[in-house]
Amino acid sequence: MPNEEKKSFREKMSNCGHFCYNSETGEVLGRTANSWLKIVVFYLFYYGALAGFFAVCMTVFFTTLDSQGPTQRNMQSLLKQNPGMGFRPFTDVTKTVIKFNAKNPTEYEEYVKNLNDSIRIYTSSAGDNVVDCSGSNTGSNKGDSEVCGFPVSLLGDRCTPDNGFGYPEGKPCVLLKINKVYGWKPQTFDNETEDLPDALVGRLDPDYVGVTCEGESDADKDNTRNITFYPDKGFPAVYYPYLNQPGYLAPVVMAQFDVAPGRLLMFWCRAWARNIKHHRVDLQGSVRFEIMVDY
Amino acid sequence: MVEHKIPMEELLAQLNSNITTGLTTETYLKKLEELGPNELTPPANKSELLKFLGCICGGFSLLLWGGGILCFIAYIIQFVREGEDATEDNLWLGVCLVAVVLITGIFTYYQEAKSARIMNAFKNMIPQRALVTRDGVANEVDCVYLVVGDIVFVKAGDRVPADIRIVSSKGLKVDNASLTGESEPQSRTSEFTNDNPLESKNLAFFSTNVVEGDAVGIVVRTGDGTVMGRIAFLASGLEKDKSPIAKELEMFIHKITIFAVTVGILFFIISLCLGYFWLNAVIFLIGIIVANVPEGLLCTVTVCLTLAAKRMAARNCLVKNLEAVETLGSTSTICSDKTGTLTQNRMTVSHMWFNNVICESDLSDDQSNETYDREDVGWQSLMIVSMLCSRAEFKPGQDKTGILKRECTGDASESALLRFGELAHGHVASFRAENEKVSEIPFNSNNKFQVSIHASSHPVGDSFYHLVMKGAPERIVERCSTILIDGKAIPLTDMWHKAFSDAYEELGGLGERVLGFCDLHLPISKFPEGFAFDTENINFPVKDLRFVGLISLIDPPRPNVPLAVMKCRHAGIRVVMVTGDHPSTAKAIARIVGIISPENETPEDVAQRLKISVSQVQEKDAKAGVVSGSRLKDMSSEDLDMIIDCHPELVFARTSPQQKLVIVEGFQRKGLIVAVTGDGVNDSPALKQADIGIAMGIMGSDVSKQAAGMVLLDDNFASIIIGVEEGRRIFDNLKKSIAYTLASNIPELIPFLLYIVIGIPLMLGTVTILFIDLGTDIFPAIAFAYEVAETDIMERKPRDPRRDNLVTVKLLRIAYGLVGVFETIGGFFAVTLFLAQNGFFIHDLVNIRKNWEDETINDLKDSYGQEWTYSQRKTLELACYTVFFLAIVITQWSDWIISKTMRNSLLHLGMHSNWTGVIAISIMILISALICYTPGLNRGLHIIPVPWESWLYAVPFALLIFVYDEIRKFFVRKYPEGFLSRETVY
Repeated sequence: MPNEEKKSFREKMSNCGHFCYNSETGEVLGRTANSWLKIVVFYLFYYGALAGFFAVCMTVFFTTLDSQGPTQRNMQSLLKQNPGMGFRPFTDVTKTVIKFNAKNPTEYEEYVKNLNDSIRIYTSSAGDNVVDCSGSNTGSNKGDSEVCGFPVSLLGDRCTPDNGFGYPEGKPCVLLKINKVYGWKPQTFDNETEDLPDALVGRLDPDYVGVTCEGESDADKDNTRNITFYPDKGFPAVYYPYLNQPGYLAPVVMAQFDVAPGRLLMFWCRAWARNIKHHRVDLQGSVRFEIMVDY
Repeated sequence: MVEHKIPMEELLAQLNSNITTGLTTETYLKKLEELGPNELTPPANKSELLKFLGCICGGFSLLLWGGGILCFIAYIIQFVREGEDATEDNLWLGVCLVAVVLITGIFTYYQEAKSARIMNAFKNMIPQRALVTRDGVANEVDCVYLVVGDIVFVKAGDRVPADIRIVSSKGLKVDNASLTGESEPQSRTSEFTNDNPLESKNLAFFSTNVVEGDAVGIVVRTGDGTVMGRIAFLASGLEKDKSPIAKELEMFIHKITIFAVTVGILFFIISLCLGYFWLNAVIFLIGIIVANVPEGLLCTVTVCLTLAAKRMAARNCLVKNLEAVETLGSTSTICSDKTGTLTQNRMTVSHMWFNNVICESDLSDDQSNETYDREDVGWQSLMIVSMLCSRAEFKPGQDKTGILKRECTGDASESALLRFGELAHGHVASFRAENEKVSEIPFNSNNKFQVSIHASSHPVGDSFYHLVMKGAPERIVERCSTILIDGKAIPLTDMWHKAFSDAYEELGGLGERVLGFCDLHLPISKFPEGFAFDTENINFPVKDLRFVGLISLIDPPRPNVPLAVMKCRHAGIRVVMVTGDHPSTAKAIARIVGIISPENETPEDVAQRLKISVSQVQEKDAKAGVVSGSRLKDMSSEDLDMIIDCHPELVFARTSPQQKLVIVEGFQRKGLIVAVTGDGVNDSPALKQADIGIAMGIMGSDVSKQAAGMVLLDDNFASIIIGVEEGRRIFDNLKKSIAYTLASNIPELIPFLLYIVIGIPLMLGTVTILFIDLGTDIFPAIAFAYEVAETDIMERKPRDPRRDNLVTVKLLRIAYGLVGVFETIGGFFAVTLFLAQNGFFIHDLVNIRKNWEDETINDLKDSYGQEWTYSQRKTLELACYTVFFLAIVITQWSDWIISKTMRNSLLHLGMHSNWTGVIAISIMILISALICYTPGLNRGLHIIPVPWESWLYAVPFALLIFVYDEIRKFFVRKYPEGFLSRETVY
């Protein structure tokens, strides 16, 4: 029996070799050179034509696109006019924890650097179309191509590069931002009669998108001494809507956390406007992160 | 077997029996316990559980089981690592995969069980009873309860209940056709004549029929011990080879499995090299396998075959094994039994010789085609003699049946004479009554004639009694001194002897059985009324008689057989006759039905024409060949191969069941797919050995039906043509269906590869892939079963099982390389469009995978500067799945339409050729819409509602596929031998 198998294996190999190159007919892998040429040319032609058709379709399609904003906007967009939020420092993807020892600068210098980078666009020289929207100028009279400048002074004096954003003193500042969604305009709350969390009381202003942060569990809340926001009222509404203007600057808020040391605390920060819905898991209109400070 | 050789007393002693009183109840019960019931052991059945396990582990199931188990492992690992937070995607995918395997497995099992039920219907035969003497009392008992030593009584019309040795008989004749293939009934007496039990006269065999007379016999063998039981055992001992379609599917599954596993492992390694975590790499592996396996295909094949089987059953071809549906389509050789398959198994008068003229018999109901003068004395005399010489009688209650179809008691030749007499002369029974039979010497093998004396109602000259004789022509003519020519008896001179032998030879050469007839009107002077005829010491003349004529008989072919044989030849199928009958008869029938065509000669014919001896004829000079069993016995398998090669037209005669088997194997050695048709027990081993055995439903024996894969319910050989056509059609349609189904594998696979290699977001999810394979693709794929046949289907050669496979490299190249790529580009275009409209340009997505998949990144920028949270991105991803899914549905629509025909233009064929298909592709769209817009249902399949425009993105590509294929088909039709025909028609 083994003999037979051996033979059949040898036969197989010889058949295989014969298939790879057949010296009688000059066939390589079952085809003659001529046949190979034809089939290769056919496929080249086929794929070439297909690629050409694809290219034409793409070209035609791309001419229908608006360079300013996406075709699917407002409620057609999957963003559904409900922005999420972001936070900084965010140095390591996959981790949303800010953890450092205030006594050890090497543990937080990366956070500081990340925050510095994040606010650099606000401090760098403004473009031609940037106008001042502060004070009485609510920006309603600014042109379509003009955007409001965002002076870093709005972020207060406690969360500046000069004091290392509060990290050296163990009171870290976290930069909060609302995701840019094309054409989204906040419908701010104009009075306090709404069913709003206590944290917003007294801080509500029709010109601002409110902001809150809270500990997720009761323990987290108990270990949080104080959270201060700069600007206190939240994100100035004058910066909206985002229309992909050149040099557009999204408003940001600094939140400074004064927390009990040595505990990992989880926070859920939310932006508040009539047209912002919140969802704790999907992180609609909100963001979550953890803070652990030692000193 | 020795039971027929030993003296009766010894046998009785051995068996503890007694001729008059039979067995005692005591011995009977003891023997029944010892030997078991008198029935054939049915072939062993697989247990239902094993069958079910086979169904859920066969085909792609193992691969999917593997995928499912990997999914569960991945989930468990994730669960252990991440606890509650672990995503349940892998768990669900695993559950889906297992569900798919179970559902398809249960479906297959259900289908198989259904066809098995049809088969079981055959096994429930009506119980037969036999008259048995036990304890001196005769009783009817079920044949099943016979034991060796029982004394049984059998009579005409019975089926022999076991192998019996004849104790005493009165003119017993049995029809051994189902055992040996000989159509001639054989007389059975108590004398031992031959060592070979099959030839010895004192044995009658289980399941053969008693056609005449009666007898008392002693049971010598029962159940599996009988001769038939042994042949049946020979048949059941054969390990059935897999059916061609099963081999094709197996090969296909191998190819796809190897392809899927190779690609999967390749990308597993690539993703490891690209730095993916190994668990992710495993998940990719599962995705690639799922994309590559056409999960719904085996269900589709089963359904297609079932539909074809139903269609064939409606046309009188009952298929016992689903896979046999296709086998006839690939059949290249049909080995057909003669008696009862090609012929009617009913002897019929075909020619007569009287007045020195051979004329054909007129078998029309109204006797309108007469070729002879009805008033002619010669013809009338021949009719009178033949009617009086036949002892056969019509069975009662057949007055409304056509004369030629009436059943008779008596042997085949006499029945034929009776039928012909009734047809041509009429009122045979009353004529016989008028001519009362006063004496008779029955036929025996020594004198080879039969003579009877009748009181004549038509005296000629001075006579009262009329002596009539029939028998072997040469024996009859010896006893004659005169011959009846033109109404006068003239001396039988040498010239008339010569004329007689010429006629005899000519009729014999037609393969017909010739009977001679003579008579004598006994002079009243010597034989007055009331003369006592003595048949022991013959006191009447049996010499110097008057020769009346010859009648030749043949078992005529069924009317539609010649046409069917011609159609088979057209379709490139070789029809070979394999029979137990005599070579000359076999050859004659072969000529009539066209198995040997008129222009071809056998070596014997050549020898005769050239006046040389047969041994001088080169085998290959003769296109036709008639090979007898005795010659076959001395042949090596090489000789048989040579015979098969050099004679395209072949007849095997005088073959034994074992030889039939050898012949079938000979053809199979050549790589040919062989169908065998037969009706007798002697055919059953060959029926079993054949790739497809075809049994006759009405005349066929139960054993043959059991061995066969297909039963022709109307016994009509022509139904085979229907089978061939259906088989070829289903093979074509399966090819189309597979090409259609496989095309969507590429658009299912490529998104994965792009995701792994260039890091763009995944465009099509694994669950969605499963849904395409089992949800949307499956109905159109099944609908191909209803597709009409290609126009040239019966003009093609049978497929070569070594080259023309179900799934060839070419088919894969076309389905994957041409249509599949087309669909992929279409889907890719649709998703690119959709992403760009939502803000992500494709070039900005390259290598975004890591950030895209990162749950902690809540503000990922798109090409317009918008920022997307993780869940928003995932929603977008699901929308992409949906858009890609819809693109596949749309392009598969187009693919279905182009796959309908291989060559013909669809503009020419139209859609109305397959309404089922139109409904199926409409259902496909409806399902897609339903899934897309039904809340709850869609989430489960990773699909979400998308704007209606996204249904249209792939339409340009769908249209282009259609245009491309019409152009291709145009060139294929214009240049049937050209490049496109060779390379793009599967």
